[in-house]
Amino acid sequence: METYGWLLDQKRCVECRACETACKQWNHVEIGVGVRYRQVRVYEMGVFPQVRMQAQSGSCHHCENAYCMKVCPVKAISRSAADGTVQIDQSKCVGCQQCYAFCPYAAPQFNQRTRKMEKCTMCTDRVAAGIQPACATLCPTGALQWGPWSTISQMGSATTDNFANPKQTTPHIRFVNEPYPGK
Amino acid sequence: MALTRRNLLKSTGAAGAALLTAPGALKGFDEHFRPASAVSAAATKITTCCGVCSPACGLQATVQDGVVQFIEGLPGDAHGEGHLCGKGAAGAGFLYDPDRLKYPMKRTNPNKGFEEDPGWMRISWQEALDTIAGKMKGYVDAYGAESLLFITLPSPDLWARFINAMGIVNRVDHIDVCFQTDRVIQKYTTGGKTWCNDFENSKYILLFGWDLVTKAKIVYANGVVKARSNGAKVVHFSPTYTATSRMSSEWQNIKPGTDLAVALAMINVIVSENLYNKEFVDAYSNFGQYESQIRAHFAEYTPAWAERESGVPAADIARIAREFAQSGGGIAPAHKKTLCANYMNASQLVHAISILNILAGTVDRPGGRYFARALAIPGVDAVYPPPAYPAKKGVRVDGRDKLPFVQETDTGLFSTLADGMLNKYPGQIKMAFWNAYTILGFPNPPRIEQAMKSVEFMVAMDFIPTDTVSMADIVLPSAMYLETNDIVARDYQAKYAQTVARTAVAAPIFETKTAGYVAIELGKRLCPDYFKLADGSWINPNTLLDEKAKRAGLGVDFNQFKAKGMVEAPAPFVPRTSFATGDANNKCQVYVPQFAAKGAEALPKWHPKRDLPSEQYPLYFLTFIPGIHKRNTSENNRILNEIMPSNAVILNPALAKTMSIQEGQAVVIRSRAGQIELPAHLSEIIRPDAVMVAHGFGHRSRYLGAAGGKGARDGDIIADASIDDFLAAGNYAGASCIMDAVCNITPIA
Amino acid sequence: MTSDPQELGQLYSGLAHSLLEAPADDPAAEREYYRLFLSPEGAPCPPWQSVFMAAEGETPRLMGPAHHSALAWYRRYGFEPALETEPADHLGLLLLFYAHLLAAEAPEAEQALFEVQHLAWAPRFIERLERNAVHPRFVALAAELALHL
Repeated sequence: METYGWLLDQKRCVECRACETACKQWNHVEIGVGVRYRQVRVYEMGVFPQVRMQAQSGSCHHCENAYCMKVCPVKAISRSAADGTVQIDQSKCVGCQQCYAFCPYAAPQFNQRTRKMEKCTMCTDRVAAGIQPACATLCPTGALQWGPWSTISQMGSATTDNFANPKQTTPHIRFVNEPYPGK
Repeated sequence: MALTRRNLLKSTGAAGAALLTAPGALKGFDEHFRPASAVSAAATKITTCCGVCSPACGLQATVQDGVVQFIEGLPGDAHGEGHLCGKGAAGAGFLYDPDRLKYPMKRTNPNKGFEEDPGWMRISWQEALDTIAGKMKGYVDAYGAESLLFITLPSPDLWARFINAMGIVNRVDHIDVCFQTDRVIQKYTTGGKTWCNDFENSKYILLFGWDLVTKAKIVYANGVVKARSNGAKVVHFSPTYTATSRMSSEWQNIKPGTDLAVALAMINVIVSENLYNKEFVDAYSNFGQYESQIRAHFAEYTPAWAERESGVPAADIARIAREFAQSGGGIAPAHKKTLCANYMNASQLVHAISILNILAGTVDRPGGRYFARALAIPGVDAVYPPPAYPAKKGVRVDGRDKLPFVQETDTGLFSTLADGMLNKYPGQIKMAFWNAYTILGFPNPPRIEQAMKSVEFMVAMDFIPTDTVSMADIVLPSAMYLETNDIVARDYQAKYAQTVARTAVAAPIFETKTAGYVAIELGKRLCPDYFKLADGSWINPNTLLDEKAKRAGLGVDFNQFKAKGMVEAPAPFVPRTSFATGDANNKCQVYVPQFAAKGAEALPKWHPKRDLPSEQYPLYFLTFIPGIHKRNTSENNRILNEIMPSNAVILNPALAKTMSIQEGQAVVIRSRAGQIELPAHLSEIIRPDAVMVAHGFGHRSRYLGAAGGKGARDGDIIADASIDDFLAAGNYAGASCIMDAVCNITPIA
Repeated sequence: MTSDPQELGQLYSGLAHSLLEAPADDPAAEREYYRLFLSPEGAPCPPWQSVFMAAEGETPRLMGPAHHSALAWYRRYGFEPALETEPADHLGLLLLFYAHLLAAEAPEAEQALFEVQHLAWAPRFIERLERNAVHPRFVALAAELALHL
C-alpha cells in the first residue's frame, strides 16, 4: 500500500496561508465553528532584538502510531486500507474530544455546531484522482510539498522547533531545516 | 413546525400523486419560475485573474452549475507562477459574501449617521443613474465641475474618459496615490516605471522597511525565496521583525522614519569610496555631469551621522554599502509608492533608493529594477478617439496643484483631502462619488467622515456595506472581479509580454454592475459626445473589449482570446540604453535639475519624519497590513476573517512590564489625532519604543456581518495633513504620512 | 381552515408573494418591506436561507448548499427560478414552490422531505419578523406565516 506525507521547508514559508484557505475551500469546511483542518502557526523565539520566528503549517499528520485511534471510545477513527490515512467516521463520532486531548498536534477539532470531531482527510478524493491535496497544490513558494511517504520519509529531518517528539506517533511529515546557501 | 398542510394530509390522506411537471396552475408562479433549462452537471475550469491585489495572478476557477467551487493557480502565469496566496485562494469568500450589496438603493431619511435608519428603498438602475446624472448636472451648472469629488479604487479607462469629459479636477484614486511618489521620482531618475524586480538574478537586495514577504504578493515573496536560494544576500531595515526579516540574511532594527538617513549614508560610502558601477554610471547616468555637486552634497551624510539618527551601527551601514555596491547585482526595490517606510520624508527616500540602483548599475539590467516588457493594451481613447477634452479648471481641494510634480501626473492626495474640504475650501464640494473605497483608507477617518457630512449628495458604489455606504444617498451594487471580463497584462514580472484573460466565472450576482457600465451610462446622460460613436451608437463595453483584444493581437475578438486564456510572446531581454528622464542625453539622473527648477531638491536631503517622540507622546506608532488581509477590503470575507478577525496593539514585553500591562489587557492609545482602545498583544518582534496596530479593522458598519464592530482603526491615531505641511516638509512627490504618528498608551485596569 | 390542495396551494402562494414582491400600493409598507428584507445595511430578516443563516451565525455564504439543494428540487419538477443571478433559497421562492407541490398533489413523502430540507429555518425567520415588523401589514404577515408554518 502506498502511503503519503508532507515535507515542510519552513524557510520558504511566507505565512500567506494559501494552504489554509485552499483546504477550507476544497473540503467545504464550515466557517465559524472552530474547525480549521490546517493552520499556519507562527512561533516567536528569543528576546528583542535577538528574536527569531518560525512558521509551521500543520494539520493531521496521519501518524503511523495514531493516538487518536487508540483512545477513541467508540472506534470512530480508523485507518484507510487504501492509502493509510487516518479518518474520522462522522456517523460514529460522539464528540467526546478524547482524540484532541491525546493528539500531540491538536489536529482533531470540535465542530461547535455538529458537536463532532473533524480533521484533515489528506484530500483523499483529490489523491484518488491523481492530484495533490489542496494545501500543497496552492502553496506558492514550495514550502509545503506532498508525495509518497517512501520518498518523503528519506528527506529532511523528522522534527523541528516547536514540534512534538515524532518518536511518539511517527507523523507523516518531515522538515527541511537547512538554511539558505551563502551568508 | 405545525404546517397547515399536515392537517390536510391527515384529513384527506392525499398521497402518491405522480410528479407533476406541468406549468404551475398557481397564480403568479410563472413570474418567479420558468421551465428548467438543460444543465450540465460537469465541473469546468475557467481561466481568469485574481482581483484581490494589483498583480492579478492568473487563476483557474472550478465552476459547477454556475457556482465557484474551488480556486487555484494558473500554470505558467508569470505573477502567481501557478499558485495563489491565501487571499486569492479565498476568492469565493468575496464572491459569495452574504452581505453583498444586491440592488441599487436610495436613502429616504435625510439624516445621516450610524444611529439613523437611512430608510433605504430599492430603485431601478435607471432611476439611480438618472438621479445621479441629474444631481451632477445641477452642481456643474451652478458651481462648476470643481464641485464634484470622485474617490475611486479602480480607474478603468472608461472612468477616466468620463472624468476627463466632465472636466472633473477633484479626484483621489487609490491607484494614482499608490503609484504617485515612485512615479514622480522614476519619471525623472530612470525615465519611467521601473517597478519590476529581477530578484532571481539579484546578488544583494536592500529592503528599506518594505515588508514585501509578509504582504504575500507571490511575485515578491517568491522573488525573495528564489534570490536566497540562489545565494543572494537580503538586508531588511525594519523596526519590527517580520516574515521578511525572517527570510532575510540580515535584519537591522532601525529607528522608525530614519531609512532615509541610512540610504543617504550608503550613497556617501559608495560615492566617496568610488565603489559605484563606473561603466553603467558613466555611460547611462548624469553622475559625471554633476559629480562635484553630488560628492559635496553627500559628504555630510556619514555613516556615523546616520547611526545617530537611525540606531544602525555606522560600521554596518558602511559594510552593507560596500557589499551592495560590490555584489555585482545590487537592487533596492521600492514599492509602487513609498515602501512600507511610508513617512513624510519618503519623497527623498525614494529618490535616494533610485540613486542606489543607478550607482549599482542595475537599472534595467539583470538582477535590478527593470521596465515591464508588457503588451500595450489600447485603452478606450485609443480605440475610439474622443473629441478634445475640456481644460481642467477649478480648485483642487486636496491642494495637489501646489506640488507641481504631483500635479503633472494628475493624481490626488488622500492625506490632505479632509483639510481642503473642511478648512481651505469649505462648501466647495457638493457631491462625492465613492467607488470601492472606504473611510478606513484615509488617515484620521473621523475627519474625512466630517468632510463627507459637509457634502450635499453622496453616492457609494461597492460590493459590501462599508462605512462609506452608510453615509451615502444612493448605493450602487458592484460586480466582483470574478464576475467581469477584461484583458490583464503582466507587469510586475514581465521580462517579456504575457497577457491573461479575466473571464467572468458567473454572471454578476443580483443586480450588480461594473464601474465601466456606470461610466458609460452617466456619460450617455451627461457628456454624450464622448460616449457616442461615429455611427451614432453608444460605446458598448463588449465591443470595446473585442476591439482591444483584436488591436493588441490577442485574437480576432475577446472570445477567441478568452478561449486561449493566456497569450505570451517570449523574447530575449534587451537592456535599455536610453532613459527618457528629460536629460538631454537620455541618461538616468542622479541629480535632477528639473526638481531644482521648481523649488524641490535636486538631490535628496535629510528630513526627519513628521512627528517625533515627545514627553507627551513617547512612542512610535506603526501600522502594517497583515498577509492574510488586503488593506481594508477583506475583513468581511468569512474565510479570511476566521483566520484573523480583529487587531490588537502589539507591544514589547519590556515596555509592557514598565506599565504593568498583561497580555490581552485593554489599552488606550492616544495621539494628537485621536484615540483607540485595543487589547494588548505582547511580542518580542517590536522595539520597546514603538507600538504597532494592524490596518484594516475597526469597520463600524454593523451590517458587515463578520467585520463590523471588530477591532479598531489604526487611522484614528494618524493625523491627516494640510498641503502646507507637505510643502514645509519638502514633500514634493506627495508621499503620504501614514507611519509618522507618535502616541502614548494607558492600560485600563 | 381549508383542506383542499388547490386552496392550500393558493394560500402558501399568497404568503410567498408577500415575501417576493414589495407592496406597490402603500409607500410606508414598501419602505418597511425594504427595511426588513433588502436593506443594503443588513436587513433584520434577510429572506435568503444562506443570508439568514449567516445572520444566525451559520453557513455564511451565498450560493451554498441551501441554494444547490433548492435548485435541484425545482429542476426535478421541471422548473428553475426566473432570475438565474439570484440564489434559489429565497423563502418566497421556497414557499411558492412548496405551494406548487401542494397544488400539484405531489407525494406526501416529497412534500415532507422538502419541508425538512427547506422550511426548517422558517420558524426562526418568522420569529425575527415578529420581533422586527412595525408596519401593520408586516405584523399581519408575520402572524399569518406563524399560523401556517
